[in-house]
Amino acid sequence: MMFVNNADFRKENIESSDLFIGSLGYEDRSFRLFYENKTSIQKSNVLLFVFDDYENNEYTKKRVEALLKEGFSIKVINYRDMDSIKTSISLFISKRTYIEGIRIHVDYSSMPRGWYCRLPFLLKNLLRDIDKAFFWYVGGEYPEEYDTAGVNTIGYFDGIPSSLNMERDPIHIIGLGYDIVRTKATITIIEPLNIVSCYAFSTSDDDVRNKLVSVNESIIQRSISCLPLNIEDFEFMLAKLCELTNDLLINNDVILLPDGPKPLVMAMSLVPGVLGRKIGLTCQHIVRNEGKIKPINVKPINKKFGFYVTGTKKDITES
Amino acid sequence: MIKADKIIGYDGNNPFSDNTARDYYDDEIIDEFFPVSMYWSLFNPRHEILLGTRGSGKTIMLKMMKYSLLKNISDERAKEYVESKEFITLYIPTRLDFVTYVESKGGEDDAFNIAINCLLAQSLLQEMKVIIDDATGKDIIKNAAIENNISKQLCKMWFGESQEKITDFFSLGIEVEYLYNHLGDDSIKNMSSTFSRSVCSSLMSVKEIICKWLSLPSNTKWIICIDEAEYLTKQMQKCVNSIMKSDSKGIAIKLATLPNKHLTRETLLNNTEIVAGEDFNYRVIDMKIESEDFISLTNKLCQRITRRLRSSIDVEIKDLEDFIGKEGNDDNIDYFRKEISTKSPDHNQVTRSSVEKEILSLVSEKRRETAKSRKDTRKTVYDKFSVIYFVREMRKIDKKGHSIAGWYAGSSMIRKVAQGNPRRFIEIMHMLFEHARHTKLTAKQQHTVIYKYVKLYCKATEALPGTGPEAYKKLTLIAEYIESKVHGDILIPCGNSFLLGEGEFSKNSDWIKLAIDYSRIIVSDEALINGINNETEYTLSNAFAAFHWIPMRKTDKAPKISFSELTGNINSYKSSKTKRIRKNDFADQLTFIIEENE
Repeated sequence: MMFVNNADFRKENIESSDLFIGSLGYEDRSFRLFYENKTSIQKSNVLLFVFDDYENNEYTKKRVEALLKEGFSIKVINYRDMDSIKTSISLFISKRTYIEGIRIHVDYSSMPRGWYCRLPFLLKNLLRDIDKAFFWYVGGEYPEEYDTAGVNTIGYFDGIPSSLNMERDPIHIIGLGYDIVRTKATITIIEPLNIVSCYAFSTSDDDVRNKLVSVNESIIQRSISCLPLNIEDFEFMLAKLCELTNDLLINNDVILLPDGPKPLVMAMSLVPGVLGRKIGLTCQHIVRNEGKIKPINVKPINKKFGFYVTGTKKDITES
Repeated sequence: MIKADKIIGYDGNNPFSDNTARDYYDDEIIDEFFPVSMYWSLFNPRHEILLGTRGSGKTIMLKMMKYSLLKNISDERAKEYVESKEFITLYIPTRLDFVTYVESKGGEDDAFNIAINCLLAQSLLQEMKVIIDDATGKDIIKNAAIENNISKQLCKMWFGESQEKITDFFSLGIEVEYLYNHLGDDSIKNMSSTFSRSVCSSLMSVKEIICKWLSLPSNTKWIICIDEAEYLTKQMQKCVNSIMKSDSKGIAIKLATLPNKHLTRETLLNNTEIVAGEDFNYRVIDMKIESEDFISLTNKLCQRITRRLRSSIDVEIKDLEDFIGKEGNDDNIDYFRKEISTKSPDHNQVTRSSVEKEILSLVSEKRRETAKSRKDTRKTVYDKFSVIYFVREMRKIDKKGHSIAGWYAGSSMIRKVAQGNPRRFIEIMHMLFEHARHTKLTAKQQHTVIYKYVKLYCKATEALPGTGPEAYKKLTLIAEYIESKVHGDILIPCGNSFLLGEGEFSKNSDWIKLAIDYSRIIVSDEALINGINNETEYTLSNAFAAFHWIPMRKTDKAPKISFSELTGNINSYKSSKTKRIRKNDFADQLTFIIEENE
């Protein structure tokens, strides 16, 4: 069982001895957390990633070049290359042994889900029980209308999928966001028998909630149930999703299809691991259309949501 | 009063709420199933690749071929197949989660073979249970004895050794599940050699044993229905193709997939392919709009209203027309006449010849002259142009403020918009039923619902996987272009078909194939089987045609579409001044109000 706890960014100041891991891209908000804390962190404790097509965006290119000049370490990685991410992070942590507990801050605001959803368990296995890995998400302001990210296909992420027992119908738990076109495309591909939908919003923001419900009305109507979640309370989100999944697993196979804001995607993706990878429980990830996406520059808003995990090792040098 | 009016105020479940065959439990499928002619023709010993667009009915047909369900069909042919056991069908859905799971285990041929044989084995065990129950009259002791014997023998054949703990199909099924759940693990290496050999090896290794124990005739054909094969990777399809190429040994594969998703004819043997007409046949599952099968099926689906509402509402629905009613003979002119009648007291003067007269006033001078020289204008004028004329006029009415044309209404129209697709038909009926809860389903109300449906349907194109957004944009461009032709000043012969211009095919084939798979574009059966090319003629789906007020008819000379030119034409059409015509009556007294469109 993994220990996940809520974290409040206002209380968890990034200190000079802390480590920082982030991913820079075409979104303004990918730079927000890093820029705010750039002067606090030692350059040698920073690991930044950028996609290998970053030069296509002039704005990103300039910022990356400036940071390189300042002496920050930035790794250029392909969007799909999770192995390189794992290797880089493992090396990064193993080289930094401290007597006191390590504190790592991961800004996953602009990371692809194939990366960030694997990081909690990766870090859990790399860190000691006195270490902490914080995962921060910077809320974003989306334009009123934007082109859909589309869906290329659905790929396997975690879990052991449908048992052969054909009496157990699968239930799809689908995360909802603003991109209703993408959600519908996903449903077109998977043709679910039964849907449980869920969405996450800040409880202080009724507009967001209303918009989510309105945009996804047709999906919510055809769901056997709909679960609203508080995006600011990651612990509760994850616990609630685990509880729901456990209940459904009694009689059905469960397939989680995360989508919507990143904290919701993260929470849904962690469920199979948290529940011990039960047979009949899978998580699948939407693979978006490559090359056909118009990048949306998401501006940061003044909200940061987070949680932390602790490790399981006794000694950081254990492999 | 039409029967739909009895639904007003009803607050129970919508009888058209589930539209996917997978939604149904087996007993529901039996209740809902209507065996079309295609279904019976599938009982044959040949390998077949079944091509059908989404919602065409592939899944329900294949499921209903299973012995366990077939025996519940009240039909002489079903009885004959059940008694003779000439065909025993097993059903395997190769769903997305199945494929992604196998891929996550490395996606090697072995892993795929093991996984698909596990599915096959489970299906086999389920069917055998039912066959034994029927043979022994559910005699528990006899059942147990037969199951015990078969299980032990199957266990030996499948896993290489007898096991004391295997005494029935349930415990044997547990072993198969173990194999499936540990795919790729070293622990199953020894127990999986039979299953890893080839697709269907789990059946091939034991079918003689089964025939003996179940007293099946020696010429029993095993039909293996592999459903949702569109998710299979190319390599997985090669594994299946290899079985089709080899000596089938009494096994016939029915592989159901989307038209453009049979990715390869290659087999696992280099330079060896399966050959259509020799090793297998293609079958197109999609029904034609006016086929007896589709009409009967849609009527049967409407009868479910009666069944499902029996306890709540006293209503008996015989068929679609019985539910929604009709104008006149449910012909175009009937709905046109009805609409005009609300505007003009002379509606009864709408006749074929008055329509012809109007048409002739709108066609080109040349056509007018040609028509004058002909004796019988029925074919050359009325049959050719009336549907275009009606669409033009109804659109004018509909586009006026606070005006709804009761055009997209009636059973024929519903079937046209559904395009021969059972799922779409159910979706339309779902919406109509919801509407009927609150208001009478007049022609105008039906039009409102159907127009809303086609609008959503067109928009949903954007949400299709992969090239969906591109398909949506380009189909909209094509539709708007044709729309501009239909509603131009001169009435010309046009419809919803088109060709691609020079050099357009290679640039657009990807999204076109997707559009075909999801019925946004219709092509001939030949094109579905042999693939599309530069010369293929395409037809916009009737849903797209309806949304853009395009007549649903084949075009004499389909326009050639060049996308670079298209955008310019559309912009020109949209920015032109338009005339908004207000009709006071149908006759010659027309008042024109010219307005700027910008």
